[in-house]
Formats: sequence, C-alpha cells, structure tokens
Amino acid sequence: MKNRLNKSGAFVLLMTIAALLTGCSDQFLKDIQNYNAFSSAIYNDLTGATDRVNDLYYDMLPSSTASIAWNMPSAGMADSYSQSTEEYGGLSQFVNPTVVLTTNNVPDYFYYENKSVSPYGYIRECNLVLSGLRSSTLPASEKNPLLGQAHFFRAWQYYLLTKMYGGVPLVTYAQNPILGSTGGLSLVIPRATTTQCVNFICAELDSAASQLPANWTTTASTNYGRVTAGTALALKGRLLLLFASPLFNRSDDQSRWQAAYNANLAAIDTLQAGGFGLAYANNPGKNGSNWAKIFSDYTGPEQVFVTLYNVVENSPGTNYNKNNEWELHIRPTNAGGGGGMSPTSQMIDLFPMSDGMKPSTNTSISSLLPASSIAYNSTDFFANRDPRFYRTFAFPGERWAFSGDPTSLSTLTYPYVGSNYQLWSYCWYANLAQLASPLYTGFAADGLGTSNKSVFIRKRTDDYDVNTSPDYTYDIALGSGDEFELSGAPFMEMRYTEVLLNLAESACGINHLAEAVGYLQQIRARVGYTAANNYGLDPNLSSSRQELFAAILYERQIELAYEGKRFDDVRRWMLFDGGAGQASLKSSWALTGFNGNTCTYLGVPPLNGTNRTGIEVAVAASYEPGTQETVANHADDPIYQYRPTAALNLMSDTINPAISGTSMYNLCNFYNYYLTRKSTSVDIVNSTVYPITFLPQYYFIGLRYSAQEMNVTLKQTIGWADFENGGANGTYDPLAQ
Amino acid sequence: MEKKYIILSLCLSFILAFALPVSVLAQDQAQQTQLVKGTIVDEKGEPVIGATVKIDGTASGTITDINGHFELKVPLKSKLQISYVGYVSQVVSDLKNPLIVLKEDTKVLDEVVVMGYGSQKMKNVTGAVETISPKDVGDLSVSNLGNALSGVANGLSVSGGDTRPGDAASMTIRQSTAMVAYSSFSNYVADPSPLYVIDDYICPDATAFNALDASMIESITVLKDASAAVYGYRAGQGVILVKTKRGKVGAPKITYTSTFGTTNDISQPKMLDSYDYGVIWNQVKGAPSTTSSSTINDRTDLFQSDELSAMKNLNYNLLNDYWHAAYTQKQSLNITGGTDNVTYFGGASYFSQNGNMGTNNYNRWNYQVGVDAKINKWLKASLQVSGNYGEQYTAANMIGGSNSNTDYNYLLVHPRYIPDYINGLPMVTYGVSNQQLSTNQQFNYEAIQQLNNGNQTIPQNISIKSSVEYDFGWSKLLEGLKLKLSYVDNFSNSETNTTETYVPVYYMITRGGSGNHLYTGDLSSSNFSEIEADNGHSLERAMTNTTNYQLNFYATYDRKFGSNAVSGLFTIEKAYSVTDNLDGIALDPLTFENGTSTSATGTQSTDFSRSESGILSYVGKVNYSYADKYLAEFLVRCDASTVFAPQNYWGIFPSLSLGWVMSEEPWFKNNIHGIDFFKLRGSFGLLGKDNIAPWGWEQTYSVVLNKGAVFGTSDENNIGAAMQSSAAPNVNAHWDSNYQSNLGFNLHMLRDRLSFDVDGYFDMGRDIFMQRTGATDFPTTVGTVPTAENFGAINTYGVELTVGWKDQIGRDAHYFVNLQTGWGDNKVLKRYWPALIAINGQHPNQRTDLGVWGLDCIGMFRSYQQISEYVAKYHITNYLGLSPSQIQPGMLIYRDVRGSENSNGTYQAPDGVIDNTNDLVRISKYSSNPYGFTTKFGGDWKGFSFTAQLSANWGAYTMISNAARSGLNAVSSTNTYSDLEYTNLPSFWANNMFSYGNVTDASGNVVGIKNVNAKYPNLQYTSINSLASTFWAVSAATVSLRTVTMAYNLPKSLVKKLTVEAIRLNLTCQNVLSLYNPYPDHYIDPMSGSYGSYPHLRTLTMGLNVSF
Repeated sequence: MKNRLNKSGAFVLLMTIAALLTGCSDQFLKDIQNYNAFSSAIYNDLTGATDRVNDLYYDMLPSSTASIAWNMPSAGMADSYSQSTEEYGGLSQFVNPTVVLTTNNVPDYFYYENKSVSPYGYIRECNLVLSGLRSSTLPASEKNPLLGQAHFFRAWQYYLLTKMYGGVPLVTYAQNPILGSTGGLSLVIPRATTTQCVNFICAELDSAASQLPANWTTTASTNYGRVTAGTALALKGRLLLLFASPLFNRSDDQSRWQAAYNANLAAIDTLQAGGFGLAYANNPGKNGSNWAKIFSDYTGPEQVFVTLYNVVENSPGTNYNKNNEWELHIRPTNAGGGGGMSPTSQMIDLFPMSDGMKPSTNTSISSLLPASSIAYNSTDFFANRDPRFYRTFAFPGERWAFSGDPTSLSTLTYPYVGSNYQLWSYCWYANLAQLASPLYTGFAADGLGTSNKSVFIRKRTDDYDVNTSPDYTYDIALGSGDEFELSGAPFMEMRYTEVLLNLAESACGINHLAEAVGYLQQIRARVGYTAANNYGLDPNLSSSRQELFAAILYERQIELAYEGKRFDDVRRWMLFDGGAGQASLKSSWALTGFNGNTCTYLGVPPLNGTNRTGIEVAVAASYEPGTQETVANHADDPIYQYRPTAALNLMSDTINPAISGTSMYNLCNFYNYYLTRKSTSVDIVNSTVYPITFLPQYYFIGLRYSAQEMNVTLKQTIGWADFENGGANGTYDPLAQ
Repeated sequence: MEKKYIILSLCLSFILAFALPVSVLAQDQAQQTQLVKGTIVDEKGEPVIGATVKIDGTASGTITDINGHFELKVPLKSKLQISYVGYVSQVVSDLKNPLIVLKEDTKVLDEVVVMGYGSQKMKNVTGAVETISPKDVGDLSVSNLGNALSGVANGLSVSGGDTRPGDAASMTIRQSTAMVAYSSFSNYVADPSPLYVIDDYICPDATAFNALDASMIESITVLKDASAAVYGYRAGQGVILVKTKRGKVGAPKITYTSTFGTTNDISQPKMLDSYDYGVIWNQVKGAPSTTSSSTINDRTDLFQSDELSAMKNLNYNLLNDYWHAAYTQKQSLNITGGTDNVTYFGGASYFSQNGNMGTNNYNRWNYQVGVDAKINKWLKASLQVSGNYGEQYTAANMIGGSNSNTDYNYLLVHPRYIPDYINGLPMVTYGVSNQQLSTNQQFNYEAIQQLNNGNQTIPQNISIKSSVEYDFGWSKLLEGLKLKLSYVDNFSNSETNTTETYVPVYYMITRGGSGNHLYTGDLSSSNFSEIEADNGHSLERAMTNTTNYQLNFYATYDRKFGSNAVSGLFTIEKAYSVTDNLDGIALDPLTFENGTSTSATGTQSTDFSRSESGILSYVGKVNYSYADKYLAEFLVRCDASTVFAPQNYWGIFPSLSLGWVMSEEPWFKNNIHGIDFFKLRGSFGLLGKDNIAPWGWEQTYSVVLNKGAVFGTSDENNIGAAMQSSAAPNVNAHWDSNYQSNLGFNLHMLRDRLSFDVDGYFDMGRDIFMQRTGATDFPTTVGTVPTAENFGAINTYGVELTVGWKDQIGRDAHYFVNLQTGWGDNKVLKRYWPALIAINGQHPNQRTDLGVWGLDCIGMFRSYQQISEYVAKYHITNYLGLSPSQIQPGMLIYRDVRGSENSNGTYQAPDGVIDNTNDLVRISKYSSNPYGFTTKFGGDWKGFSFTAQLSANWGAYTMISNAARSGLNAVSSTNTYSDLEYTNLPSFWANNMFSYGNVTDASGNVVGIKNVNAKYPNLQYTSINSLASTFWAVSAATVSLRTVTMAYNLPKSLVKKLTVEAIRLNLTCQNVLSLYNPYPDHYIDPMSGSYGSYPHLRTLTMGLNVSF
C-alpha cells in the first residue's frame, strides 16, 4: 500500500499545483495594462488636460504661410482667395472664366473624407476635450481656462465652415463611428440654418470669454500665445460683422449691425482690459517704421489671435521646431530667400499719397472719396506715398537689410552683406520687341535672372533697419534659398487694428458715423498722420454712411494688405458684381438694402470684368537690349554705372522727391532717365488674357458631390447641383432664418 | 464569464463519461515471466543496432546491442514489439525464434503523426495534414528552417529566406495571404503566417521556428484545416507543429553532421556597357521634346564622338567587382541514450554564412538538452532547455533611400563609364550634367563599407520546458487517464546596433573629353570637391527583451475496448507575455566611433516602452474510432483575447471531423483488388481571429512630444507636447468567424506503390474585421476614420492533390516520384464598396487577385504622319496629359478603350482621351500563377541515392519591372528620363531603342543613330511609355529545378570496421537552375528574383553524417 500512497500523494500534489497555477479566473487578463496610451483619466491631471488642449492648438492654429484650405484661413500668400482680388495676379479657380465651378471641381472646405484630419475631425477633437474636461475632477480654477480654449477652437472651426457655406451640421459630441444594424442613420445630422450656426458660435464664444482670462500675463513665460477672453469676443465681433454684411444681410437689417457693434465694442473693452491696444499708438517712427515693427515684435498689444513660432532648428530625433517661413518666401534669392512674391500694378497704384488721400489717377477706389492734391507719377510710383506703402512693397533702389552675411556662399550670385542689402531688381530684355510685349518678362539685375520680380512684397518683413535683434537665425548652412528658414516671427490671424476696423464698420452700420471716423483716425495717427490734415481723411466722412463704408474698406485694403483678409471683404461686400444676379438664384436673395447694388452704393467699380497686371521696372528702350548676367561683375547690366550710389534708406531719407540731392531725388532721376514702368499680363489662360469673372453662385460655394454622397441628409446650396436629387438645383438657403 | 464555466464542466464531463463506464472492463494480468534472447537483422542480414524491443502493451523493454542482440525478461504469453526508425514495426508472438527480420519501412500509413497536443497514426487522421520528415530538409543548408520547407508540403507556400544571410523566410498556408490582402486596414494586424507550435509551446511568431536546426527535429506537421482548431483562434491560418528530438532508450548514440558549401548568385542581370549606354543617352536626349521651347546643347548635353570612343574601353562593372562567392557551413553534434527510467538528448549546432557583398554575415549557435525521467511507475517528468544565439550583419544605407536593396541596386545600375574611385577618392555618380539630381548619387558603396556603416543584430533565445505527467494506469477505474502539467518559460532578447556616419565623397569640378563628360583630364586635387554625404549620422542601439510563459494543465484519456478506441483531451492553457524595448540614438558619430554613445558628439535620445498580453483557453477534445474503420473527432475550444473589451473576451470554437476507412470494410477487401487503403474524411469547424490592434475598444490618449504649439515669450521655446487621441473606439468588436470545411481521401493502391491524397476545402470568412472607407452611407460629420467593425465576408476554396509513385527495380534499386498540385480561388462577398468602383478595382463577388491591368498598346508611333492619322481617326484630344501636338514618334500607341464611368458603373464610348484609369484593359486574369505543380523524384541503389525537386507554375502574366522598362531609378527617382544620368539599363535596350533621326554632337559627328525600326520606345517619353501596358507584358510562368541531392551511404560492412554505425555523404544544390526565361535578351533570370533586388542565391554544399 505504500506504493498507492506515493501515487495518491503525487496525484494530489499535481492537482493542487495545477489548480493553483492555471486557475480559472480571467482576472489576470484584466490586469494587463496598456503601456502605450492612457485612459480618459488624463483629464484629471492639469498637465494631461492641458496637453489635450495643446493638441487643439496643433490642429487649428492658423499658419503664417497657409493658403486657403479646409484647415487654414488665407494668410497672405498668392492662394486662390488672394488671386481672386487685386492683391495677386493669376486667375484663381473662382474668377477664371474658362473654368466653371461645379460640384465636381469646387474647392472642398467641408472635406468629404471621413478622417480625423478634417474640419469635423477637429470638431470631434474639441468635443472629446470638452466632454473629458467636463467630467474632470480638476478644480474649476484650473478647468475653466481649458474649457474656454476648447470652446474657442470649436467656435473657430465652425466659424470657418459657416463663413463659406452658411449653415452646416452642428455636431456637439464625439460620435461613435460604428454603422451597426442601423446603417449609421443615427449618426446623421442635417445642416442647421445659418442663424442657428451663428447663434451656436456666439454662445460658444461667450462661454469661452467667460472662462478665459483677459490675458496670460501672470504666467506669460509658459502661456503667452494662448487665446484670451478678448480673442473669443473679437472673433464673435468678426462673425457678427460678417453676418451684418450685405452677403448675409441683403436688406441692410439694422439689428444685425447693432449686434455686430455690441460684440465688437465688448471685444475692444475686454481687449483693452487685458492690455491690448494699437501697438506704438503714439510713436509712428520714421516712415512708419514702428508700424512695420508690429510684425516682428515677438509679443505686443496687437496680438489678439497669434500663432507663435520659434527659431529652433529641426534636428533628427528631436524635431521641436516650428519656423515661420514667411520671411523665407518674401526675400529675393540673392539675399538667400526663396525668391520673393510679386504684387500687382493695381496694388502699387492703390495706396494713398503722403497726404492720406487716394492717388488722383486711380479709378478703382470709391468715387465717393476725394483724390490727393499731390500729383502721382506712375514711373516714380514710390514717391510721396503713405508710409505703409514703403513697408508693404520693396522696389529697385530701396534698402532691405537683414542680419547675416552670405557673401562666402558660392551658390549665391551677387550676395550682399545683410546689413547693407540693396534691392536692384530692375530688368532688361533680349530685344525691344520683348520689352514692348506684356507677355514677356526680362532678365533682372544683381543675379536675380529670370526669377525677376521687379517689385517685391515686403509686408511683415523683419527689417534689420527697424529691428536689430531679429526673430530669425540667418543660417547659411541650411542651403541656398533656405537661409531665412529659422524664423520665429509671430503671425497674427487677428490683430487689434482689425478689431478696431470691425468696430468702425459696425458703428458705421448703425450710423454712429463720428464714432467710426474716430477709430479710423486712431489707425491713421499710428502711422504718422496728424490732426493737422484730419489724419488724411475726408472731413465729410462723418456725414455720409456710404462714403464712410467706402473709406473703411479702403483703409482695410491698405492696413491689412497681404494679411489674407481682402477676399473676405470683397465677398462680404459682394464687390465682384455688387450683388447683381443674386435675384436670379432666388428672388428673395436680391439686395433690397445698399441701394440694390453694393458697388454703386460704395462708388467702386465691380471687380468682374477687370484685370490685374504685373508691374515691372525695366531698363528704358534706349539702353536695351542686354543679355542675362552670367558672371558676377555687372558687365551685362546696361545701366549699372548709372545707379545712384546710395539706395533709399527709410530710416533716414525723405520720401519727398522735390528736395534736390536726397536719395529720393536721385532715385527718381535714375528711374526717369534709365528706367521705364511696364505692365505685364498676369491673368492668362493658355496665352490669352481673360477678365476676372466671379459667378453669382460662388458667394456661397456648394458642397462637393462627394460630401453629399457620403451624407444623404446633407442638403445642397441653392445655385449648385444636388447630388441626392439627380443634379437638380440645390434647396438649402444660407439666407433663410 | 458564465460561458467559460459551462465549457469547463462540459469538457470535464467528456472525460469522465468515457473514463467511468469503460474502466470496469479492465482486466488483471498474470505475472509469470520467461527470458527471451534474440537477434534483429534487416532484410540484407545486417544486424540492426539500437532497435527497440518492448513488451507489447507496456512501457518496459530494451534495445539491441552492436551485434543486434537483445535479452529481455518477458511475462508468459506476452508478445514483443520491435521497432526502429525507418523500419516497419512488428509484433512478434513466436518468442522461440531468435532471428527477427525487420523490413524497411516503405509505408507511411503506420507512421505516427504529431497532432495537436498528442499524436495519431497517419491512417487514423481525419484532417488535412501534411507531414515533413527531417530527412526531407536535413541536407539543405539554410540560414532559416522555413526556407527548407519550400515545395515540401502541399498547400504550404514559402517565400524569401534565400537572399541575404539570416533573412527570414515567411510561410503561409492555403489562402491566408489573400485574406490579409482582402481585409487590410490601418489597425489591422496584417500577418498571414500560420501558428508555430514547438513541443506544444505556442510561439509568438516565426522567429523560434526559423532558428531551429534540422538536426534537432523529430518531425514537422502542417495542419491546414479545422484540425488546427485545437490551437484555437490563432490557428485560423493553419499550424506548423514541430516535435523536437527526445532521448531514446539505449547506449549513447552520437551523430555528427558537417556541411560545407558555397553560395553565389544564380546569374547577374545583363546591363548595357558604357558605349551602348552613351549612345542611348544621346538618342534619348536628342529626341524631340514634348515642349517646343526645350533645346539642348550639342556639346554639354550629349556624349561627344571622342567620348563614346573612349567609353568603348571603360567598364566599371561595380557589381562584378564587389560581388563574390561566399561560404556557408553547418556543424552539429547530437547525443542520445538512456535507460528505461531516464532518457536524454543533447545537441549543439553551429551555422554560418558570410556575405556575397560586404559584411552581410550571419551565424547562429543552437543547443538543446532534454531529460525524460520516470519517477515511479506512474509518474513521469521531463525537462528540456533549448536556445539559440546568433549574429546578423547587414548594410546600413541611408543615402537616397533606406531600404536594404539600395546597395545592390546601386552597384547594378551604376553606369559603367563612371569610376567609383579616382586617385583613392570615392566618387559620386554624377552623369552628363555633372550635377546632383538625386541624393542617391552620393551613395558610394565602398566608401560606406570602409567606414563600417552597418547593422548588427544579435538575437538570443532560451526556452525552458518542463512537465510532470501522472498515469492512472494502476486504477481499474481510471486506467487510460493521465494528468499532466507543463510549464514553458521563454526568454528572448535582441540587440541591434546601427552605425551610420557621414561619408565624404567627391565630384570632379571639370571633367575630361570634348564635352566634359569623362572622368579624365585634370586629376589634381584642386579639381575635386568634397561632399559630405549623410548616411544617417547616428549611432543607435535598440534592445528588446521578451519574457513569456505558457502553463498547461492536461487531462488525457486513451483506451481501447475491443474494437472501440476512445481518447479524450482536456486542457487549460494560460499564457502571458511581456516585452520591453530600450532604444538609444546618438547623433554625429566621430570618425573614430566605436559604436557606443561615448563616441558621438550630437544630441542623444533614449526611449523605452513595454507591452504585455495574456491568453486563457479551455480545450476539450474527444476521439473515437471503431476498428480503425470509423473515425470521429469532436473538439471545443474556448478562448479569451484581451484585444477586445472584457465583455467580448470569450469566443467558442467547435469543430467536428469524421473519417471512414472504406478499405477496412469486409466487402471492400473482398471485392476490390489492387487497392490497399482508401479513406474518406471530412472536417468542419469554426475558427476565429482577433487580428486587430489591442485597446481599440477604448478611447485612449498618447503623448506626442512635438505636436503642440509654441507658447511663452521667447522665440527659442520648443513646440511643446500634446496628447493625441486614438482612433474612435469600437467596444462591440468581437471574434471573427471562419467556417472551415475540408473533404478529402487517401488512396493507396498497387501494393502501396501508387498513392493519391486529395483535399478540397471551402472556407467561409464571416464577420471579418474591415474598415468602412468611402461607404456611401457613412456621414462625414463624424469626423474620424471608421473603426474596424465585424462585417466583411469572403469565401475561399480550392483543391490539393498529391500523387506518389514508388517502386523498386530488382533487389537494390528503388525510385519514387511525388507530385503536388493544387488550385485555389476566392470570392469577396462583402466589404466596403466605393460609390464608383474603378474598372481595375475590387468588384463584388470577384476574387481578391484583381489581375494585371494596363493600357492596350497597339504599336509605336514611328512617324509624324502616323501620329496625325491616329489623332484624326480616334479624335484624340488628350493623350495621357499631352495635347495631340505634343505626341512624338517613339511613343507607344495606346487604344482609346472607353470614356468616363457613369454613375451606374457603365462606361461611356471612347472619348478621344487616353488616360490611365478608363482606358485600362485586363492583361492577365491573375497577377500570380494560378496553376502549377511541384514534383520531387529520386531513387537509390546500393547506398547511392538521388533526389531532386522541380516545380513549374503558369497561367499569369506580369510586367517587365518598372525600373527596367522606364529607366527610372528604383531607389530615388526624379521621375524623368534624367534618372538615366545615374542609372544604367538592362541589356535589351542596346541598339533597339527608337530614335527618330541621327543625333549629332557639337562637331557634327553622329553620336546617336537613327533607328525607326527599333522594338522599344524612346526613353525620353518614359512617363508615357513605361505605363503598364500590353507592350510590357510577359508570361509569369516559371519552370525551375529547385534542389538536387546526391548521397552515398557507406556500406555497413565497411562502416563497422571503423567502429561507427553509419556514414553518409551528400552533395546538395539549392536553386539549381531555371528552365524558362520569358524576359527579353534574358536580361534577368526569373529564379534570381526581381530586377534590382538582392538576388536569390544558389547554394552548393557537401555534407558528412556520421553516427556512432
């Protein structure tokens, strides 16, 4: 029996071990942890919750060099928005008469694909953050500012959509994308009306404003750059001004203007309480130098909605850089830039003379505004202009200094020591026939070759003459054309001046004319105008709502040039055609206010039917022709020997050409003897120049067919083919209540 | 939760149900003994040494000595069972006769097959199973075991493993590749591999299997159908089961195997020589451009006639220079032996293969030690320790593209007029323009080699397996029941060291020749300019450490009652695995770097991570057979997966299989002659998969260090961290369902000389994880990618046929032929369908293989008149993006097949627009060969033996590879013909490319001859001409002799004098030759792989096998 005991003993032992070790519990499975990610508990921690909000900034902060897209507003580049206005040549898809936009080719800002990276993907992120924060255990003092930021970004995304489409589906919670047995119908949300969307966005912004601080001064070193209560209210003001504008307000409903006025006034009050205001309000500097400095100051009172950048270099394994590429884009190649950007002749001729009045030769600006008494010589277009002209454009013979020295680089032809950079970008031609033809461009001096841009846009530049501690690290090691890449200059999607202009326009809308003029005077005073000539404004402005509207829009064209705002203004005021043709889309869409046509109301000619032209500063015919420079000794430059010795220095020189011996005087003489101004054709399709043609239905773009295809309850906008209805006219009315 | 206990009690009751009633039948035995002496010989009369002699029905016995003698005490009236590997086991009842003759085993039916958690006789198997004996693979010299399985088992596909030393082979069973292609999406775990089970331990991946050495393997079994269900959900793609060698009772037996061999490429692709290359360049550059404004400089843009003359003598064939034959060896030593109570097995082996190019070396040590012990009559224990340790060196190429083929491709397509070194300076590959068009041109193979750039991977694996088994044989009641507990602990770690530096390379500022295109002229140092090529400039060490255990509790039951044989199995399986990663990078290594971060000066970063997973399963299985005639197996498996939300952890997978050995029926035996064995069998089972990424059921957030925003008042602040959200969760995700059915038969006839094994399968995949993308009913306002949902459906089906013939001629000569063939297809029933499905897209009820699509080429434009006639005839307005006026002679002519797609899926009539979407035609129904067979044949005569494997596949067409037909560089392309500046072409282009007119150089000499009758279009229009089209289609058929082995067994009489048991010599060749080459000018051998990729290698080895 001993044997038996052994057997039993072994058996029992075995069973015990088996039972103990294998177990029947799946608790050990539930104990398994996810080491790669965290649960919603992160919202209970201030850092975790803040990092969630930072993700919204990563997704939605505007970019300084963005082109209009589903995720970005226009930021001053030559995108399809700016190329629909006088700012840039080149027929964008909106104004190209050879291409009619249909639901197959209309730009998609709604973004039909189901992706986390899409407007509704961003809205989903906001919804996730908001629900996570609401159930967070953080104290209200920590939670509220985070909630406020999330509300702001949800409003921002809905603002971008509503601006383009009118009403859109309002998704206010993170939906679970499982079709399940219902076929996904429970996930479908139809388009809200425009009014519902506007109300929703305003409510979002109000709650954002109530939860956000007026500024982040107490924790500026870690939090400066976040949105504030003022940002939220300023956006609300911008939205309500849009809603009061003729685009949405065909009958000139005063209550809309009143709402816009109230919102913008509240925004200004809150901004001022937070320390915001007009930067350098009483200190214009020489030739508007301090106005120029607004854009290169890393912090400042103008920065209502700012995107901050850094000068950090991208290195493998870290990648903590976020560089502002604007400086890179606008600088000429012989300074190490990307090549620069060309304005139009229309923009050159648009800016006021130095007395603040429009140039007498210009017919594109409101006929209601008086012209300057200073004669405008289109060859010497740079003489006697508004200070902002010199800070917006760079022309041959002007200094445009930078901090850096690329002279050791063999890849650059004609490099300058940055602190002495002069732009000499005039050009010459291989033969006289090319000089005479608007279809040709020439060879530019100083090695700029055929990438010629006689006149450059220099708005928002970090000018070494203005700012001796620039926001960039000029790095010749980055390679030719990338030397300015490490720029940390901030970008302002909204600056205080815009809010003030929004307030002025709203005030004008409710006939607070004198008040509105007062705001314009503040803006003019900041660039050096004085009460002596009524800040360069027509004294009669305060007696004409029409003229004041026109003056405010003109001021926006000048002040906000190349900041990506002009298309919105043109669209808001329907300046392509004044609103003609709206009634043909739907009878109730006819303009009943604004004298039935905004263009005639404001006294401006419609953009439709006009053309942009390029401006070129060419060597006069008598010194032509020439060959392209191949060797860096100026031997091929026909007029090099006649160049004035000193370029125009905005920090010291006068802008009045009448004073003999000044740089301005010499430069004008050089232009008059050796140079000629040429207009080139830029609105070309297949070698033919076409006029700007913006069709009436483009004011509210339709949904791409594919967006409807994915979402059967999405109604198409009137004027566009309804995919769900066999291509019949859409039924959604963005103007309905 | 409830479900689990139900299953548990269900399984236990199975065992008890069989255990209780039958045990009553057990009988007691008388215990009187006699001493039996005998000698065992083979058919030739040679003594058989080490044969096992056992008392039938017990575990006790002995083995024969060196003279074949044995002595054993045997109870009266009992029988002896004699067995030896390679011979037919027999039971002897006449104990008086001292001489027992063992017959050589020529039948497979009595072979024991290792099945899930146990083994079965082949004739009792009801599933679709393939067995592989180590004999089939032992002669092959492979760096990974998978490669040796190629063509060995019907339904098992093997790819790779025969290129760079140590590169793993990947295996798939039946149509799992199509399944993966069908359901692939973002968080899908796309792995078509089968499950690898080594000694009942379920391996996490193929690594452990590939690292096994053939000398330590007892057997390999491939489970192809629902018979794999015993391994549960992860077996849905089939199972490869391995049983390693264990100790055998007897005197110590030592086996030594040694293999030496050489590896080399099968053939090098044929490329243009310098002169032909130069002429083609001129013909391309001199061809009329599609844009009228473009002009060329006759001196600088073309090779001048003096340069072409010089190029006739330039032949920098870098691939030839740097490629060489390499060596491989394998040494292994095994020892086995033991007594009735303790047996042991120990083995060690070493494999090494050096690189054919640079330092592509691989070596590996394997070891295994195992002991099986009987603690007492009813209690057994075993312990086994095994492991491997290896090193693999591969190149690190980060210039121009980081895939591992950059180095081979660079050497292959390097234009042969450009030297890679001048005066000791490594040169960049600057072509005609002497400019850099792509960073790839900075790649200089030897310069990178000289700086010791490379990857070193050191994998290490240790596995400890232990078990105790208790047998209830002493109990009348519970006889046949065994309980077993096994525990496997596995440690593996891997270290990868990467060295990537800056590499100084040079270009010549002014080159020689009248057009400045030759690397001659001014060779003074001032004419050379240095470029610092960036080959990654970092040192990296990545370490991964995985620990996992698997704990099983088994209860098995196996007993015969007359003609009834019953067996059952119940097991609880619990497994856990944790993996830790540590990865450090140091930038900017010094030139005298030593591989550690102390020798780098740049930023250093470290990251470490961890992941864990667990498995819990219950398996119950019952087998029943009546008189080895009626066979049945029922199985239920219950698995938990942590991939799903806790409420969806569990899945239940039942399967049933039945067999009928018709040849055992009396009426069959009596009436049908010539058929020795006929078995019908069928199986049906449900399997499931959880192949989506874990934690997909929960909304999670992860930190991203550089995806926030810049805040603060300093322009030097970093972009900060942010928490990103995961994809939307799907809390409802659950096991998918794969209903697998298999019907087959095994037929042996003509005295077992002819055999047929036929299987047909039909698998229905349901609730398969798919992601809805572009579904018409999914609102976009949800704002995220739809999560994986269980909604796909696909059927896969096919047949497999194996035919074998073996016979002998006379007394000494044997031969065999074995042929495997099969066919499979599938049908996609349900997935996401876009609103408009492209002509070459996936349509409902079609197979996953969409075939080969391309434009329909109807000739080549050879004159402008031909162009205008074509344009007029077909009203062409747009020719692949070109206007009609831009069309040039030397472009291929494509047919305008149809217009654009209507909303109902039909197409409009030809519209005068040639585009690469609507004008596609199906060039081949299949993209990979649907038909084929593999045949293995061989024979032996008096100790000499020969085997060979030949395979053929056909039925599909393929395109000449894009790099070969376009001239574009496969590593980094400018997407224009400019790539030709640094990319040589295959030989078929020579003198055969269209050239509209003579091209003349600056001196007026013809440097590119007019060739309007050429076969191939002009490469300047490569964007038009290289599109997939009927022009470039070639048959994808292959016929290849894969392996040949010749072996010689030294005669026993001779061997005996050397006091060893056996000596065997063999000569083996793998990837012998390809018998069919469809490619123009045979520029590449189809067996050597694809153009520009590291080739498959031919291995020739000699082996010696000695056992003592």
